Amino acid sequence: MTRLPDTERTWQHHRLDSWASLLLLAVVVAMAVCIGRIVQLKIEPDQRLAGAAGSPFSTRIEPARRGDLLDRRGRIIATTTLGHRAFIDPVMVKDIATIGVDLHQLIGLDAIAVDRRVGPRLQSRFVPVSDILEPWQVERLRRSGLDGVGLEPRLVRHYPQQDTAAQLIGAVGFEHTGLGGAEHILEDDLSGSTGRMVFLRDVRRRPLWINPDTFQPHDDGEDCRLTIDMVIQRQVEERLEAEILARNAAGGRVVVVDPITGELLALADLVNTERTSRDGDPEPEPPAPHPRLARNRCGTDPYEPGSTFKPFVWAFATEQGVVTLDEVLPTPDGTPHRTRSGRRIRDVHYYGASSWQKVLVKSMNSGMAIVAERLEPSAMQSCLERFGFGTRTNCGLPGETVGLVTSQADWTSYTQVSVAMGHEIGVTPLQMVRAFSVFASNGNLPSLQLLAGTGADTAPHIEHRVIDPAIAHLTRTTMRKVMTEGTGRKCNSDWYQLFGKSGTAQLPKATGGGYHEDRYVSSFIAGAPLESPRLVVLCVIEDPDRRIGPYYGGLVAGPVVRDVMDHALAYLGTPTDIDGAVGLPDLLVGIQEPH
Amino acid sequence: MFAKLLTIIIATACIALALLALRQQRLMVVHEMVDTHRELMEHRRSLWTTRQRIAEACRTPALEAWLAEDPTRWLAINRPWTVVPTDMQAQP
Repeated sequence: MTRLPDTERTWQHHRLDSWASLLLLAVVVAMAVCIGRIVQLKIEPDQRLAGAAGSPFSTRIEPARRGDLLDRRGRIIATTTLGHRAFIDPVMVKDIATIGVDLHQLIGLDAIAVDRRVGPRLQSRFVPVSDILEPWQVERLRRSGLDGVGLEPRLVRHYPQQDTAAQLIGAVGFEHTGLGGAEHILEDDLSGSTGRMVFLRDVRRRPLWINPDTFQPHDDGEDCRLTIDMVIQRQVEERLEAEILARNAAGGRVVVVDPITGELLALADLVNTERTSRDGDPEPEPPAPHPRLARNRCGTDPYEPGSTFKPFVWAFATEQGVVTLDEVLPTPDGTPHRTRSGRRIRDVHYYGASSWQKVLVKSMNSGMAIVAERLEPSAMQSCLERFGFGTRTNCGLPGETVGLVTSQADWTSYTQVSVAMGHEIGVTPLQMVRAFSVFASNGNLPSLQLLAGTGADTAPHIEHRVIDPAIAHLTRTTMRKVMTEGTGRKCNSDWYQLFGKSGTAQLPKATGGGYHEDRYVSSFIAGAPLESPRLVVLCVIEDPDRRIGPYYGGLVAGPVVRDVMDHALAYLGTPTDIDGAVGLPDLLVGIQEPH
Repeated sequence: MFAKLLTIIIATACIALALLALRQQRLMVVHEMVDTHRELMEHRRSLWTTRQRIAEACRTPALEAWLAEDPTRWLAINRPWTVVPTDMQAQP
């Protein structure tokens, strides 16, 4: 073996070292160039590249679900799902001339309507071309792979109970915010906050990294439970509609309330749009853009209660001691009664001298006028105030008004007598049922509620005590006689002992200047069962047609109250309180139970 | 010297590969996470739709129509003991 001389070995080592250094240098330079290029691409890329690359971040929006509206038993009144609508990005469409026809063939959209929408907006990147699509349309569009056609997710509000309680529930607008009714007043609870996720994406738009700081989870809205019972509400609306059509009336309102808790179980307000116009009818209001956006007149529009107002003054005067139950009053026996100021007070029937109890049972205006004159004006005003007239119930219904109560400054002896008969005062149906609940809840004025409470909040809300429990019971038993001996005879129930009062007030002229001579507001208010009342029902029928039937409250509104009461009490499982009553009212319409 | 350089280059390559593998794993995890999140959202939306369909099917007129089709359905709900076979009824 020959060994290289030392000089030769040294030269070889030098050569290797040089190559190695060169290689190392080349690797370092190559890496530096790569790193430099990366930095340049990241910090200041070429103009052409920057345009193509765009932002490396994508944002995904997670819509928050609007809470459901539920009735008192948890039935869904309003709920939200996710729908899609189609949009076109004209810049990305291959053949803009045929896109309308393509969409027509694919999912049945109107080709001309699509072209009309896209035509003027060819430079836009987003042109919506449909309303919410059906699931099969969404599926077809997804599979088609049409360039430039996309699907935009949108929240859709559904109302499974259809038009039942439409005004009460309200509606949402395009941005899914409440526009009327419960949807509006509960907006803060129902609406949630939208979620947002920003992520770094790769060239195929797949997420590479999510920055925890920019992730914002969605927060769904809360479900809200109303006190309304949709079964009772539906039955009330059907019954009221039938009565309005049968009487060719202008409209009607019904309120059903639990007098102990103050919970509103049904609020119906119908206007007869098919009614033939009569002389003196006010100009019809412009219709609401949608029935759901119409106002609910149960809280907004006052009416004159007529004789249904008498029980409040009757109970108050009895408690004040200005008259006793068996006191015989000098009521007339054939001619109108004259007040101290000479005003003539007519009765429908004249019974001669009658007891204070009979005054209410027979609804005698003269008797009420006699006792009203024994009260001080301040006492009468205090009566109205204690029963809650002239103040809002604050149950949550939007646009609620305070009604019409004559001020102290304008209060005259004429007012004093008129108010005792339910005239010269305007009340809303909500105020009426709240005040009448005093008799059913041992003298306490309940706080009306439209939103159901939860947990400890379910206890009854009482505003204040109005009259003594004994007086409340006495008024109830007297009003029971109204049903058996008075104006409520024709609408007495076969299953429950109702106590109530009818009212027939003349209709004020829409143009002002007094009342119509032959047009009326018929109303009836009642509670049941007598000893442990569970419901109070008020029905107001506006301007029933005298040419086709009676117009007295006990004959027009009374049967509605009776039927609603029978159905609702049976539905709530309330046992009958009439001896010898057979069975209970049918709960299901049109279904014959086999025997 | 050459051996040392080769070792350094191989080691660097190994480290680079390991880092790449870790990066890939991280990408997969993120990707899976986003996919799962998307699936959750899809399920959530299908629940909304199911809830809406149940509400539609359970509204009173729909139930009444269903019961009217066959009156024995109402009997089975209202008085179930009348449709239970005699041998299954509780003995007094």
